[in-house]
Amino acid sequence: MHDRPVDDEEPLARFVLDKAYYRPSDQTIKHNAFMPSKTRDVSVFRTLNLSNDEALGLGHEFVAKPRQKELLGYASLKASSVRQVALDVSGTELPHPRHANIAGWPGGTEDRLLAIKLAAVALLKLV
Amino acid sequence: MTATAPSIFGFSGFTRMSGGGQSKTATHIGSQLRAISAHRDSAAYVQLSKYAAARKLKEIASLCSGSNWGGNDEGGISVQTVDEALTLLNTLPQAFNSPEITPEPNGAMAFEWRSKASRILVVSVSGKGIIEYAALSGPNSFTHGRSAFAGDLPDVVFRLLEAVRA
Repeated sequence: MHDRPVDDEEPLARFVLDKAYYRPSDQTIKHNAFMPSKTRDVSVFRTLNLSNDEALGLGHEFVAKPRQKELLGYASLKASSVRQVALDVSGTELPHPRHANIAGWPGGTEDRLLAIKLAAVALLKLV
Repeated sequence: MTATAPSIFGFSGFTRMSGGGQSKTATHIGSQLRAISAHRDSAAYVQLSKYAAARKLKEIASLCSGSNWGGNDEGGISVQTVDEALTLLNTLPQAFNSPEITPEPNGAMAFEWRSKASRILVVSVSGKGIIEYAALSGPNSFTHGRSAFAGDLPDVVFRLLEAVRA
């Protein structure tokens, strides 16, 4: 099912492995969680039809465990939110059929602005 | 070029902190802040707020000094970045609240202000004599850019600070 394009209504999970990426005070995600990596993308997982526990299990197995870090939670947002800020999301199959990348980052200072916009609409779900 | 650490914080440059736990000094600062919270506009309150922010900045820098600090191939926070962030903190006008301090995956250190009206301002430095900023005050109201930073707060950042406070 994940060979096909990511639908606008699909929820995406950005897994969080460090406390620096969210505010414990009001349990909101920070913009830094959505800033692109050196490879110019942001790794997410497609969580359509997954329960919260199943989504966390995905993050534990395929994100936290390979990095030998503790999974703290994930920020959830819809694919449509990504596209509304003129970014794109597409499935990548590896390291998991549910993996996808947020791509199309313009570079420079606009990256931070887009990361702020994504963080503003994402919902944080802690372990 | 490395910026000189501000004297207001009572230390010079970046000092690696020992990890774990809240120190007696931090507890004392928290107590002092609470004690004078009724006088938020006082110079003493501002001084303590900035001191607490500087301590927080150093704590974050200590935790994020190495690369891959968040498991996502992040860049480490350099000594130059910390010194520049401290300089920026010292240039902030007294009228503005201390920012939330956030490490960024590219090795930069960001200051963030959020208003009740959902206005957001993020200002970031990375030890290269440049301030980057991004501000959001609505779905179609935003700005971003960069400005040289040599120890004086750029006018554009000051105006954005005023806007986020409004």
